Amino acid sequence: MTADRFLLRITRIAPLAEGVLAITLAAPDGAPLPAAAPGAHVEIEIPGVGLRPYSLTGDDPRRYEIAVALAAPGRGGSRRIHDGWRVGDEVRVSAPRDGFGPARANGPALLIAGGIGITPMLTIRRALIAAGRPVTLHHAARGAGGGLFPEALRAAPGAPVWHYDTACGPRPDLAALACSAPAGTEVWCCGPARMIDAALAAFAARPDVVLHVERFTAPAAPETPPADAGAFTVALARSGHRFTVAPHEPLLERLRAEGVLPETSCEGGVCGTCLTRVLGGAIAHHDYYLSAAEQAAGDRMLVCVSRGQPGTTLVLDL
Amino acid sequence: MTNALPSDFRSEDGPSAEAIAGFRAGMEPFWHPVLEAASLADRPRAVTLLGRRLVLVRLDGVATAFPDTCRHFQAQLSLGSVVRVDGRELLQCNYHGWAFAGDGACARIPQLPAGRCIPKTAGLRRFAVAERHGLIWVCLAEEPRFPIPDFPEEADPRFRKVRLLEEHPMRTSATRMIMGTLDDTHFPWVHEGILGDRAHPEPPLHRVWREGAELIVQYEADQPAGIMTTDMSRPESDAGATVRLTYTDHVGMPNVIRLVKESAAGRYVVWLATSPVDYNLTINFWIFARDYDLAAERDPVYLQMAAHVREQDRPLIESQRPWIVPPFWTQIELPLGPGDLPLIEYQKWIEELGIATAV
Repeated sequence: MTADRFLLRITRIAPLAEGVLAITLAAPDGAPLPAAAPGAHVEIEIPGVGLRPYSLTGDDPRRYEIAVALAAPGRGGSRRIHDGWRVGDEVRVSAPRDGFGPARANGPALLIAGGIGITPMLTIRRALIAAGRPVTLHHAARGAGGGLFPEALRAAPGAPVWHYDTACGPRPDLAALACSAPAGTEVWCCGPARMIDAALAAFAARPDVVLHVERFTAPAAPETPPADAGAFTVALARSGHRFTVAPHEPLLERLRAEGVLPETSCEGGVCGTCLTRVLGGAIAHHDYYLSAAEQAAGDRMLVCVSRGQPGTTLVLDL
Repeated sequence: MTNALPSDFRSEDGPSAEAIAGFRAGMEPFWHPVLEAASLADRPRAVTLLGRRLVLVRLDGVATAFPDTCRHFQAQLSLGSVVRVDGRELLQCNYHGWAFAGDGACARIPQLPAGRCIPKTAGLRRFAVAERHGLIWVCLAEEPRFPIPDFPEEADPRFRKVRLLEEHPMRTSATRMIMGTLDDTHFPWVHEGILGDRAHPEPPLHRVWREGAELIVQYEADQPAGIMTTDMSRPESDAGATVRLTYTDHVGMPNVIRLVKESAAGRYVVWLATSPVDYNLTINFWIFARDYDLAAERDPVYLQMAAHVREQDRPLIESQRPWIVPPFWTQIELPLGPGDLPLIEYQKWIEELGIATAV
């Protein structure tokens, strides 16, 4: 196991939340693995996709634990893992890398995480608490409440945790956090690009604060989406609102983000609860509810699974 | 156990003729278990499969299936007997003595005048038969669409097996029976204290995918410690505790299911092969395998508990209408995501296979 990359066996795959899998990797012979510093990640070879970084969330020296969120839109790595990985398979993994940087100061610590960006924070927070540094965590996620790692993210004396449920509440106010951080604060931030950019802007005026950032992904490489999973535009007839749905982004999720809450039950394209009138545009039907003739009529769709044809504009009676 | 219709049986809320025909035709091109292999010895046996009367018989040791109707004047061949003629075994109709060979050809007509040949059209259709997992399986179509699903633990000597053949057939369709066994969100409600807790009705997070002819569902669940979830013969087992189990459910489409439950104690497997007598009557062949608590005298404990859980399910599954799982477009059912995802995916597949076609 001296090479920079080695084969590890998948020993456990378990859903952690909707669209997020907890995956455990171990040496086939159970041998201890190269030690990982807090915040470290490994790169995993995904054939046909390339190397993908995943933060290590555990601290057992005999295994690596990662959490993989199904990215929408992603570049195929998370989709490949969610659909193709099975317990017992072997994957090629790099030695741990300290992409997020070790502590450089000794003052209070501020951790800011968005969504699956919580993963590197687990080991960083553990190390900071062990070092006796005061550490505050701000975690923004859909349906938060520590959903992903409730035990690891429990507040402790000197280590408060702020959860923000982005489905129905405000996001962390980064400008306010930047203003109120005591001098000498060390900040770690990991999350979607929008959050990283906001943190860089907010803390730009604080030379007395050390800021570490980690983006989920390198700037996106072009990807060819499958036939009709491409981007399309939606126009909401009642509000006049227009927006573009990204390739692979579920329409239902986007509608909710836009403040439209269709009534749903199965969210799998079978029960018909979310049947919506379509006033114009070309539909890519993916449901089991409408008959072929009804689908061909093109005047109704199930917004939980169906989409617009790529590059077209769909006018919904919403 | 008999698979004749119970005398008090009524098919209330009967499906349309179209739905019944769709179910029978859709289920035809699959292997279906019909009998325990050990129960087919020296006498023919009558079974009903998808509404058709069949006779099962061993001729020179080979399990064979024909329509249970003599080609001559349509008496039941299962009332007949196995006879030896010219060194080979034949199935003889006991009405007029016509006898049929293993390939279905008529081999003897006692009334045939001298100098006449047996008519070429006097033979029987022979259905495909297989013996696997201790059962006899029949396929009514020329070509089965999928093979009989594997059951690795069945032949594995590290596993202790108990078999359960329910005393009464279930008054439900085979597809509803498979769905009832695949469903986990009913555990806290129907099997409280055994497989769940009503204080925790939240469904687990499922992974669902297709692999060859199997629908696979995987999830983790915390369940009460007991005979169905862990090794209670160990001194440290605590009946008050909860046990973390990983379920991997393999549905051999459309009529077989194998639930593999992994825990710290080991592996416990629930295997069910359903025999669709018809759209509203199903015979269940169960096998339970475990690789812990291996003493033979413990078998009755496992069998009793399994039978108890089955009887908890029975009134609810038998109460479901329509008998045949309806297609989604009818909007008769209201599945709720994401907890019902495994059932939704199973239903999608049986709809694709042409088994759920109408109400």
